[in-house]
Amino acid sequence: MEVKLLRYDLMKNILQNSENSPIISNLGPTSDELWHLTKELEIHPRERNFYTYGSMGLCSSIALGISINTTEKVISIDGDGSLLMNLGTLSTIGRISPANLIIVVCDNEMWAQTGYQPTATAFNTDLEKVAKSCGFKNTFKCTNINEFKNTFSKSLNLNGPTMIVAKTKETGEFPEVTPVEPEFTVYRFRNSMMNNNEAKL
Amino acid sequence: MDKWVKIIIDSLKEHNISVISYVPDISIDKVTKEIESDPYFKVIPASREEECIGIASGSYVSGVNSAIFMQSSGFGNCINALTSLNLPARIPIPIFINLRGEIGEFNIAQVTMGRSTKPILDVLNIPHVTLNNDINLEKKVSGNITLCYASKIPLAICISPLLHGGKIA
Repeated sequence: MEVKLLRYDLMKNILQNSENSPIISNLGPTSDELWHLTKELEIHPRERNFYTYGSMGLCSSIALGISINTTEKVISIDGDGSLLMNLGTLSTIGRISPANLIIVVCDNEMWAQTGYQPTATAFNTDLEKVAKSCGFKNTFKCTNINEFKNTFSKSLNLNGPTMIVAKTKETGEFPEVTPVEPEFTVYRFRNSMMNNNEAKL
Repeated sequence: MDKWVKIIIDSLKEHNISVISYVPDISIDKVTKEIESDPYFKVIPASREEECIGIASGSYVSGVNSAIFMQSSGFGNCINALTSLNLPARIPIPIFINLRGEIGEFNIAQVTMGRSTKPILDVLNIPHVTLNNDINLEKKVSGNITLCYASKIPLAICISPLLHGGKIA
């Protein structure tokens, strides 16, 4: 099964179809690419992008904490290495079962930025089945961009929680590292979520 | 409910903290059990204490104050999340920690982490207070929560067997 899906293309589709939904991105190239895409699509700063730069493993847990406070769809763009650090969060998500939560795992079956070491998803771990066994209402696997576009579009109208495992491949290059601004990320994101227009930066 | 339990719950409400994430502990259960049956709160029991940090932080950044309950053993599972998310991003979370390794401790596995919790908090520059009795308890709990949100970083409110006098587990 040839893997054709690029994380960059996948996230572009998410950004173009998420309206004002909160998007939480995993650390490393995921957040870097999301930042660059936001600039490319001329929607920078997208206040509801919650970039993470550390706390590997917590991307989808943060998304869970956000999802319970809003009725909008909330989208976590996580990685396999990250999620494997905190598989328990899938069981917590399955327990709380927020209908508006969509977890997109960019599963490249490796830790890329640290030297392309393979993770367990390159061997016997099937994250889609893990999510299903944790009680996710909908689970999907995608290996090309058209499949992803259809699946993501469908997911925006389903009652979740929804897991989309996107099998991605690395290009061998990483985007330029973006400004690391955790405090600005929180400031913009929180003011946006609280509809506080007076405190815009 | 015990006076100290009521004071903690009233303080949470006073500060609009309506989302609670926790991993259980038999003494903290006196509080979390009440919280779970109180419709004011949304409660998320997590699989691991580090996950609680993510959940509570997500709640805060989406506009709803959130607090965490854990045992000192669980604090050991949270360090990187606190240092790489809450401190740089400035996300305040009141964290209630039941201290093990105190008087009456029977389990050697609990001793070092219990007694290291406060020194580690000091190294990380995370403020903390220890509640050993109910003298000025309302002021200590509420006042430290106010301090937490003013500092924009987590603050640990540690409870000891002298406060809750409960069974250790």
